[in-house]
Amino acid sequence: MNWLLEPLTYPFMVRGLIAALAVGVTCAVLGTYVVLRGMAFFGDALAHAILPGVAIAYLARWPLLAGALAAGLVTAFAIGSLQNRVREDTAIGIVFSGAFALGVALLSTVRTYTTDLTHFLFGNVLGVSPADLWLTLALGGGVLLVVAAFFKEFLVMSFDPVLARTLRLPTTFLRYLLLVMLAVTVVASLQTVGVALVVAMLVTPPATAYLLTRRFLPMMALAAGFGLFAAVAGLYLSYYLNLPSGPAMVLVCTAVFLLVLPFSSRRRQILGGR
Amino acid sequence: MAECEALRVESLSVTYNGRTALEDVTFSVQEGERVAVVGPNGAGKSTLFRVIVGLLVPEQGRVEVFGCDPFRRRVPVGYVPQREDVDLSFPVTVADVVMMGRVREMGWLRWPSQRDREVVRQALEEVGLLQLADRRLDELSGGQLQRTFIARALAQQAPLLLMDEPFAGVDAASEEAILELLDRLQARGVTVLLATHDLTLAASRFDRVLLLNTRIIAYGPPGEALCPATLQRAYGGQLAIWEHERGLMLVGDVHCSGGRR
Ligand SMILES: Nc1ncnc2c1ncn2[C@@H]1O[C@H](COP(=O)(O)OP(=O)(O)OP(=O)(O)O)[C@@H](O)[C@H]1O
Ligand SMILES: [Mg+2]
Repeated sequence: MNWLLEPLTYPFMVRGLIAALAVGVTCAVLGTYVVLRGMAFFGDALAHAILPGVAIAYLARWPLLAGALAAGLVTAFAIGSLQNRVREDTAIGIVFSGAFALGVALLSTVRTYTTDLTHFLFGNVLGVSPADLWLTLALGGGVLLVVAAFFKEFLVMSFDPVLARTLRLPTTFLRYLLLVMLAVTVVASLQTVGVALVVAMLVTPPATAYLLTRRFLPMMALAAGFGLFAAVAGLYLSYYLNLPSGPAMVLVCTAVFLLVLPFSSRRRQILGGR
Repeated sequence: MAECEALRVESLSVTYNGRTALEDVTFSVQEGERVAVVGPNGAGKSTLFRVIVGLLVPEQGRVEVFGCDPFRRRVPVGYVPQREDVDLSFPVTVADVVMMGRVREMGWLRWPSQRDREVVRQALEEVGLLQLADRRLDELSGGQLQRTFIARALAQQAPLLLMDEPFAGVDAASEEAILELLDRLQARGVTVLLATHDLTLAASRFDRVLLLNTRIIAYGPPGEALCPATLQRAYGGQLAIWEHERGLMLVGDVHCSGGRR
């Protein structure tokens, strides 16, 4: 029992744990749409594209999350407006690698380059300040509220966009709202998971839940459960094995997925085989 | 009581990348009427439906649904597309899909009420899918899937229903069941436009027939709209095949030009 409680005697660990839990749930809930709408590549791109925003904020000594949020929103709208014109994966590839390169280039002008870059890429859960924690909770809570408010509309949009339009739902608004929420979620995850791995937190828990459920809401709930578990287990792994928090959480997600896979009749659908 | 106009289409033209799909289409449908839309492949039937339901903006002309523009309309329009382009492995059941038809009626920030569930149950019952309510879509046959989407359109409780070839892939018993369903809808005053390739059906079970081939070839009661001359103009060379199979019994005793009785 002691090994469970010992890390929690440090306030920074408690803050880290709460932040990780919030991120685990938010990513899993939003990730359910990401998986079902086939937006995984988009989420990954968005995560990488906020790096220049973080870098600029860092160099200018602005709050990092503010810079990340600004960059995330700009990217979400940029890709959103390109979506209908260029082939989507090409458009995303262009925006994503360009922005990521810019972020790395900017950060390389700083002396402590490697440590900082590692923190942004893979998370630094031990550096969560009280202010960071509040912001993470506010962003995550905001996303969950929006999902609850527009739950049935997002479901229709994700399942059948044509029906959404014949029902006269504001589809453009809902589509951008989803992109904005994705950007917000990525930003909220920046400190615990890092930009390089956030897509795994978005995609793996819902994919695992998909293997085990038949309906949408249970899938989302189960995904949130897996997200929470990955947050806690990942944090302890990170504490005891001295791993960065992001990879630790993601490894837990992946392990759970692989554990569940043999028991599912639906593995063909998610892995794309025939 | 003056009959009300459910649908008015005026000088409607639609082109896809410069190729004309509909040209100068004008007609109107009274409330409660049942109209069969017929014409060869590529005649523009699906295009017409997409404009009426507001999925496609016409370059020219106007559409009014119960007096409103399709994009600003308040009245729901039920639409059963020719082909549903959805992911069948999506984690939803038949009942969930039918409930999606209720989303607009429920309004923002609401969850399904007892009444919504009752409407869904009725819609499923009307298409004979009540036993399959908890099936997932990838566990259905093609015809059952088609009936699921018909039930979803019914759940909208729309006064205007557009069905694009709903009988494709549906067995004879289900087809008859759907036709009886249309009779019940008509008794409730629902206006139905239905695209089909089955001319016998169009002639026998509908109030009016809209014979389409990019332009309107004929529009009126089946006896007037379907006759050798109009069919020849709509189908051209294909007509012969059709006449051999079952057309003769349809047009044999009807004369078009002076055929007003
Ligand atoms: N999205 C599209 N882009 C370009 N051309 C299209 C598109 N949809 C339809 N068309 C063309 O418009 C014309 C009318 O098509 P439409 O689908 O309305 O015909 P239809 O009467 O429904 O035919 P069918 O009986 O085969 O369903 C056809 O020539 C078709 O090739
Ligand atoms: Mg068609």
